[in-house]
Amino acid sequence: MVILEVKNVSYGYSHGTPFEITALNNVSFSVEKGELVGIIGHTGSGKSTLIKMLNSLLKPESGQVLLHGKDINANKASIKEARSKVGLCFQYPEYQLFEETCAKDIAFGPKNMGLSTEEVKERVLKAAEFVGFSKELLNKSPFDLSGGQKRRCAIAGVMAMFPEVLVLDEPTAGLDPIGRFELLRMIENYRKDTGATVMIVSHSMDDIAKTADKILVMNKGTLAMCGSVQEVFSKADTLIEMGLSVPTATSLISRLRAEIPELSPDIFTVEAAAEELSVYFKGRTSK
Amino acid sequence: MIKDITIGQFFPGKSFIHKLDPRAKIILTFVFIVALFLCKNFFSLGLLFASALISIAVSKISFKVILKGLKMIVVLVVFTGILQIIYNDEGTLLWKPFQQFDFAVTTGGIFSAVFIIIRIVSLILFSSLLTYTTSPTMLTDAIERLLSPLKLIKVNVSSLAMMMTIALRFIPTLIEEIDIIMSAQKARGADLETGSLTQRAKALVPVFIPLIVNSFRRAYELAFAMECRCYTGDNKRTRMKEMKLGIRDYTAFLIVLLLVALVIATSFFNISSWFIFERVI
Repeated sequence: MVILEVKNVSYGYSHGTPFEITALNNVSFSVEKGELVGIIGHTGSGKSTLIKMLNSLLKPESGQVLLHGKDINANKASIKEARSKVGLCFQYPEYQLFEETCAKDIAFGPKNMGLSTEEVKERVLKAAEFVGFSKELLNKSPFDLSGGQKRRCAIAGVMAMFPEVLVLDEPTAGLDPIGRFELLRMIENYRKDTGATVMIVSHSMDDIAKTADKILVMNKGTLAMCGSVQEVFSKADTLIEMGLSVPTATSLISRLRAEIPELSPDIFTVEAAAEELSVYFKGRTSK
Repeated sequence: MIKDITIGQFFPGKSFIHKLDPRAKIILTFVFIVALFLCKNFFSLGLLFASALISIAVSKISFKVILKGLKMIVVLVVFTGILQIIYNDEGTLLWKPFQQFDFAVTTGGIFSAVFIIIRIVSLILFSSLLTYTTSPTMLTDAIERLLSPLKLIKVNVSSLAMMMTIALRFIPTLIEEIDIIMSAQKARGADLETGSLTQRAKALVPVFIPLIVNSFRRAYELAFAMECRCYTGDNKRTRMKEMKLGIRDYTAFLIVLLLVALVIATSFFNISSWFIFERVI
């Protein structure tokens, strides 16, 4: 079932000044319910503009964004609905915390949705559970937390609205490997638990290869590619031309393939590479 | 949106005005503004207004941008205009709507309203032309040089200039940050646009707290980075770009001097009676 559809969307900044830029040029794609979509692209390729379109923070200059088949920019009510159904979490969300305690900050979104006090409380606890926050942490000031904890608190603030589409702009930027791994697992948990669609903007091809069902590749304001992990990452040359790259495992295997042509070219994660290599070496020793 | 504010923005270019020495530009703008307040008749004011328009044309900055900048002061202009009409009772009476009140529209009132409006508009035109055509770094550099005589009375001019540079440098950063924070809070359902004044003021709390916290963080980081590079605010620094007054600047000085002479002559020595223009104030 298609949940979100972007139809021929274009957008530009600073019209009429020397700094005019076309940020998006005729972008179209659709997202299925429950999918995990990865968005990749070079800096300035229009990723951030694109995600702002998805809950009407920016309105397309031409084209439409459809949520459940309805234009989200139709009227005030539809915009409000889009804001609560499409949860947007920006880059470095920890700099947007403002309340006295984490619990209050996480409650900001659900409160704005006009829910009852009890329901807000329930949602805060549920969101805290998603990101692994203890009760003790919930009563602390967000400014006293560590960087990774702040990040999780801010993401919980968006999750607490239980959006049907959760959009995250580089959620793992600046985190250590364990923090990154944990955060991706938390996002995955949210998706499994609520059946929500998740869209992740990332510069880490490894993260995308590991988690995404579908990848959107942005290049200079246009949608350059849209397809499965295999479809996108098998076009290494095109990606490199756009200033992107393939997952580490893929580039390792492709270099090994120069020596060992029997290896499969469709390797995108470290786990798959390990599996492929062990199968190959077992086969060789048994010969 | 907040990004649409054009006052104080810099538009790079290669016109005569862009190429003027920033010190000359600051002084000339100042002289123009003083001249605007010396004006006593429509002839001299018109002269200055025309020269403002001509300078804009020479600078090749589109009138659209200029008009956008002027939009910001429409309220101020209209308000002062109305006050002038209300409080000036000179000239012939045109309209007296309420017999019991001492309010009347007179020719004098209308003349002075128009006069003040042109004066304010020209003022904004000249001062925005300065920032439109000079980069913030050039501007602070020039101010530092112009203030350098104050060193004699132990004012730390270079520190002042550094503070100004930093403040100017961070305006776009802060605007961008406000934009991001507002988007983030809007994405969480914050309503920043509707409601009563108090509601809207309250709605800004989630925007300003992170903004202030982040500004402090940035200030600490910047101070730390500057200290790491041994910055002391010492004023014995040399420049990468030396400023030099050229023939272009002297030409500009000459033109402005002529204009000011004309303004003073027509305003104070009643030479205006040679022309058909009437004395208004």
